[in-house]
Amino acid sequence: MEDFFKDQAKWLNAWQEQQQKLIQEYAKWGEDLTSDFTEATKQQTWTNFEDIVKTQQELFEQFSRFSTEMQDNIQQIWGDKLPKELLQRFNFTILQEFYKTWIGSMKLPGGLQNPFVNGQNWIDPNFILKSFLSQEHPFSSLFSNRDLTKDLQQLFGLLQGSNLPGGDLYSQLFSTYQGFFNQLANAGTRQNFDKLLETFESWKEQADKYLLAPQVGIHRETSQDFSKAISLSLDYMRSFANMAKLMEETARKSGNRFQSKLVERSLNNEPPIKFSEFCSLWTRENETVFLKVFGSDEFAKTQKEFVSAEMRLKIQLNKLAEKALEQTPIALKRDIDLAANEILQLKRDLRQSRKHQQLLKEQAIAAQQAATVADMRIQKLEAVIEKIEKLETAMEQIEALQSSMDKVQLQAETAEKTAKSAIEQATKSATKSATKSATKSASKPASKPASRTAPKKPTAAKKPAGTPTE
Amino acid sequence: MNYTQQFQESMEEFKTFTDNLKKGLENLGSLEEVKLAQTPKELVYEDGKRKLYRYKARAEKVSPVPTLIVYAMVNRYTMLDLQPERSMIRNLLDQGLDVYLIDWGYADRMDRYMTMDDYINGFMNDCVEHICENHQIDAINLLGVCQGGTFSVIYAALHPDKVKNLITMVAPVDFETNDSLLFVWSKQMDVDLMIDAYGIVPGDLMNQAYQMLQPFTLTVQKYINMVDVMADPDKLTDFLRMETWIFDSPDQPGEVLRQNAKDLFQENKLVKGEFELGGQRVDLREITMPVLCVYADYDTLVPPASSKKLLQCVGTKDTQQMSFPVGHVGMFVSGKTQGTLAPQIAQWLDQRL
Repeated sequence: MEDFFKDQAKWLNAWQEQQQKLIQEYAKWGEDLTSDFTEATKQQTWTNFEDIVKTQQELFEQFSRFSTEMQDNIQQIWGDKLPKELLQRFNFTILQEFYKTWIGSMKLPGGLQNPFVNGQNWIDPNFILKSFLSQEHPFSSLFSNRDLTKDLQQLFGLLQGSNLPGGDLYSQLFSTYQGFFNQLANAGTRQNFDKLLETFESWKEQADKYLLAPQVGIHRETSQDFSKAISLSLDYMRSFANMAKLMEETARKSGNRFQSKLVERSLNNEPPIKFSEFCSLWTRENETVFLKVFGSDEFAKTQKEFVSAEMRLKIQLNKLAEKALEQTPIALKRDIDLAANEILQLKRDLRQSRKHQQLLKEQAIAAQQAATVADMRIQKLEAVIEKIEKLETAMEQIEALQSSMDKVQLQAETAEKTAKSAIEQATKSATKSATKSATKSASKPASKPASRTAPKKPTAAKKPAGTPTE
Repeated sequence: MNYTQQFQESMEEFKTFTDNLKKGLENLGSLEEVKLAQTPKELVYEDGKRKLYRYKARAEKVSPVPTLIVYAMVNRYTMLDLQPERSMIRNLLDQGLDVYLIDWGYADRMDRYMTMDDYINGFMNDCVEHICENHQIDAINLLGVCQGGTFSVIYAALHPDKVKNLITMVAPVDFETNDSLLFVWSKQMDVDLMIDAYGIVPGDLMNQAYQMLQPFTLTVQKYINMVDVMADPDKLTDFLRMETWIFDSPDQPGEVLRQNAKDLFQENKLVKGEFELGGQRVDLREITMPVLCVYADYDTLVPPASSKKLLQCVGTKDTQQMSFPVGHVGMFVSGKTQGTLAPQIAQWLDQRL
């Protein structure tokens, strides 16, 4: 039996060797492709951007393609989201007609004939420029020592994008994408990935120079937005390739590890013959390698670049889609966001208002309770005031009585004084009379006069009414 | 064992595999709708998509202090009540707890600008006040799960007078650790760019990240293992319940994710005492109520170190930690926790009535 497992181990070793051979073959194949790709790109890249738009007809065609591209984008982005009836209304091909009409309605200086009038054949811009110059318009004298035609041609080129050999810029870029992805998928080795990426980087650098250059003209914003989207998609491709490279490398490592485990177990007479066992081993060994890579700084950085590139591209594509739809009656994401934000703010205000209302309610209840307490206090105070008032009345009465008493007292005192005075006077009078009598008696017999002049008892002793008893 | 025997066994296993697969496909065709979260509950308060449920009591004696469960926004609360035999909520009810639960709902474009402040100081606080008013009490028990645990910690720090006891389950608090790949990746992410691109971040995007934590197990091996249970309709239904829950991931409101990722995962502000919500600084020392920290020993999403750190930061001495030999999801569905987790939580609460 051991022989069987040894045979199996040999077979697995042979399989591993075969795998390595295959990888080498893939590598060679990838290198060849890289080489071809590099040559092809070299041929294209350096000459692509030198040739620019020649005729108005070409400009028009580019515009038509642009419209079609936009139409396709709309279909791709919204095709499954909007009703067909509505989608049919998005006819961007009418932009071509708009372009024709717009150009046709232009008034040229110096009485020059507009060669773009509707219904007439398109004329090479060189014709109008030559015509312009031939009339020796004062304006042209400024450029007499320059090739104005070339300058203006370049300006037109900037307006609408350059015309690459074999197609317009956009389709050329997209076909290059496809080629790049195809070759990347077939590269086979990390070295080939690196070579492809290097080529790609170089190509992207050149493309960016053109794509991100300032543009002029009425469609410059749209043109710039598309150019930026293309540039960002190139970034995305680059980051995707980097991630793919890392994954490819990890997959190769994990595959080798799994194969080694198979060999090891076979040599130890423990081959995973059962299907479930085989799967478990495959999962465990592969996952171990992948998780180690996933936990590395390299992966975290590559992942960040990849996701960020994707997000930047997504933002730009969203912008293009919104721009394409902004003339339609469809609510855009930004409209919804705006509404959502306003509604949310209103909800926050409402919540705040509710809380404020609750606070006011609590304050009102507290105030009501305080008012009730105050009422009770007022009632008590009123009772006290009433008592005070009664007391005050009583006091007044007392004071009046006191005043009366004072008056009576005064009267009594006056009466007493009067009485005393009367008594004193009577006493004095009596004393005087007595003295006189005595004097007379001493000189005369005093029987008769003495009886007639005898002092009477004072009448002032009678008490006045209301006089308090002492 | 000789080669013939091994070969025979292998072939038999393969035959069983194909038989199961065949039978399983028949079962898949005849299965009824897979239902989750079937424990009876009543809607008691709502604010748009966000709802507050109260579960019907299952015990004769019910705790006088209600317990509010706050689940994460990145998944659905149905995990806590996956099926009758695997339901943490049912187990808590059996222990006599009066259980309330917040359902964050499915965020959509209209929630693009909802912030953590709106969710925590807004709806969560509304729920707490509603329960307090309903029960004529000042404070309730708060049980936060995963991201909901982080929310609960923040809430308890800001409103300590409204929380009688705080329980966190597999909740991330310290984001310094690199024990989880999610923590590693999150630190590198350009979150602003992602939020600006998506507004509402798709739940599937989050799921892809979760799958990458065990790329082969969760994308291949799991479905190979599924064949083993496919022949049994009950087991197959159980599998599908879990599958339904896993991919039932709500989209994430951008602003919530932005603050969650930047302030917590990237800058670890909560533990540093620098986290702010609604203009208020969140100071974990304000958590003065008793705290129970429950974590899973083999958690690959929220490493134990991230959960346990809470107990070092709070302002109470009445703290306890509790761990189980399971993973993040296993905490709620594993047979190892079904009979022990709820009774231990109930006992801890009972001692702090």
